[in-house]
Amino acid sequence: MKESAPRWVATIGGGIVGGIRLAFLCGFEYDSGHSLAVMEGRCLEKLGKRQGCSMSTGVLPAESSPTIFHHVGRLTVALFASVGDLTLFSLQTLGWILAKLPRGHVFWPICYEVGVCSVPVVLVTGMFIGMVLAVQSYDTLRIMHFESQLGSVVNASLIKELGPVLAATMLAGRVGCAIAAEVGTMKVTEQVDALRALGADPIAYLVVPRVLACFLLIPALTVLADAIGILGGWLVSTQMLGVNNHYYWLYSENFVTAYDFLMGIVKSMFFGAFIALVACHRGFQCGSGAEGVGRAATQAFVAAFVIILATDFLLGLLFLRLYYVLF
Amino acid sequence: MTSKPDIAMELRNVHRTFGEQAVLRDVSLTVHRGQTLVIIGESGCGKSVTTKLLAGLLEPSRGDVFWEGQPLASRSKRQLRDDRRKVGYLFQGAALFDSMSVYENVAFGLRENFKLPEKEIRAAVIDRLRDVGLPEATAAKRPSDLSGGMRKRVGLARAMAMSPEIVFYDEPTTGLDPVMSDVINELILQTQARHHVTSVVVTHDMHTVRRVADRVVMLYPLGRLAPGESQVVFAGTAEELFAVEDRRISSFVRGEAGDRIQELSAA
Repeated sequence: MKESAPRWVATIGGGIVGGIRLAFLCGFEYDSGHSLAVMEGRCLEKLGKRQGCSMSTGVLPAESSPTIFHHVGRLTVALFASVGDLTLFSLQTLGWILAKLPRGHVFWPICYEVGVCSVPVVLVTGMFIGMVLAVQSYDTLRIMHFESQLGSVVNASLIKELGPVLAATMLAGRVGCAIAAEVGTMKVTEQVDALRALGADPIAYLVVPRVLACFLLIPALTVLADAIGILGGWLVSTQMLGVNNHYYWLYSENFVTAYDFLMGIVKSMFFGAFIALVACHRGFQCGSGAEGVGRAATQAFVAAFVIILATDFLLGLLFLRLYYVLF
Repeated sequence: MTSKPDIAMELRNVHRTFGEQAVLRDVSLTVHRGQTLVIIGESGCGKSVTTKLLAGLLEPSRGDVFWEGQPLASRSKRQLRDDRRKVGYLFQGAALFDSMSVYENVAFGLRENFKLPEKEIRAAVIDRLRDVGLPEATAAKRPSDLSGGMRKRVGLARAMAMSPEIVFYDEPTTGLDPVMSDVINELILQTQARHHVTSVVVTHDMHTVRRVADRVVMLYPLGRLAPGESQVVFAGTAEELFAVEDRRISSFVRGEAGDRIQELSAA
């Protein structure tokens, strides 16, 4: 036992360092057709040799068996590789956005699909969120005899958080999954290779228009979600729960500022860009066959949702600090 | 004016692995200008990987790929993109873009690489479709409306749209009926004759080998080779291929299972 402890530490340490190296290798060789799995395999192979075992296959020397630390090391490598690869993929996309904007005949149909086709689902969910928020908050406020302030709770929550997050979640579910499945299918059926063979860069042709469409159109979807949510909340509060209309709007005005609205819109733009980037990235990393495409779509939604919530938290903190600095 | 080198493309000691799985080990081969090189071998022996390496769609894990005597690795991305215009690629499943019509598919390369008026693009698309024996009306169809043979022909029209100097055909007759296979073989010959291109054909169809090959290279799966044995088990003309005594080659050429029949009883 005494001898094995430093080896565990070395395994995890090696995993982290290898992951970072791997992330850079993956990113730089991205459009040359290397997949993350290939690069991960290479790195794990080298790492395994250094540790005296093959980590990618989990084959260890005869005298030892895999411990939890081997698994942790392996997961660490995979996590670092994935995050690093996504970062470099995003930087490549940014480079292409600055170098060459997409052509109209490619960009506008994607805008239609991302923006116009998402309107119904955003309207329906936005309306229900506003209504639910009013119903759920009413009881708590009534106990404290603050029910006249229901408008402030409903509208502040919608404008600051729920509007942007709801629009982003709908976009991740409806558009993100579709992008991952479409790009994944194109990869599996060699259409991505065909793009490259015909002189088009897959990132410039597939990723840039989708990222731009999501980035530019999600503010409009957020405004719609805000507006319909406010309408739903107002209807339930004043028409069903009997809250006074005058006070409903008076407290709303006091608690919701233009800064809140603006920051909600700015946040949504980050969400939109991340949704498209994660979806395209998963599509490019898609495994073979229908199973691979399905998994890419699922991973795209889960990863986008986690990123939306994490970004929401971080930007929320940042905008709060910014508010104190500015006002 | 300098004449172009005789060797259009070359692999030198190329290795390629996917994860831990080695597909190609120390493979060297040359593609001579104006010739049709046919690469044959069993499924999974690395034929498609070899053509993608030659076409610059994959990078080797080790070794070098040369185009006209210059290593691909030394080219900038822009230079590589420009040079790719000289290469046409017919993919195994045609790889037509589902979201586009046949017209848009064939016009894709022209639109991406050149600033041409729509009139010229239309004329080029119709010409290429006629070259592969498809009527103008096909241009309005979607890839999902086409049969397997028509998809391959549209794929060839798309590959030829930018007037490439080298054309790759990845299993051009796989999945087609014998008549359509022969149509595709004829198209390969006609393309060669009309446009004076260099062709690289990947196939396991011996009829295609007989009809189109100037030179044949046979690859063997790494898993069944002894250490140090070359993966290129044959390089020569089609006549030499059919006369060779080596059982690994002769059983493949004649379509005989040979020793591999034992795999059934082993399972």
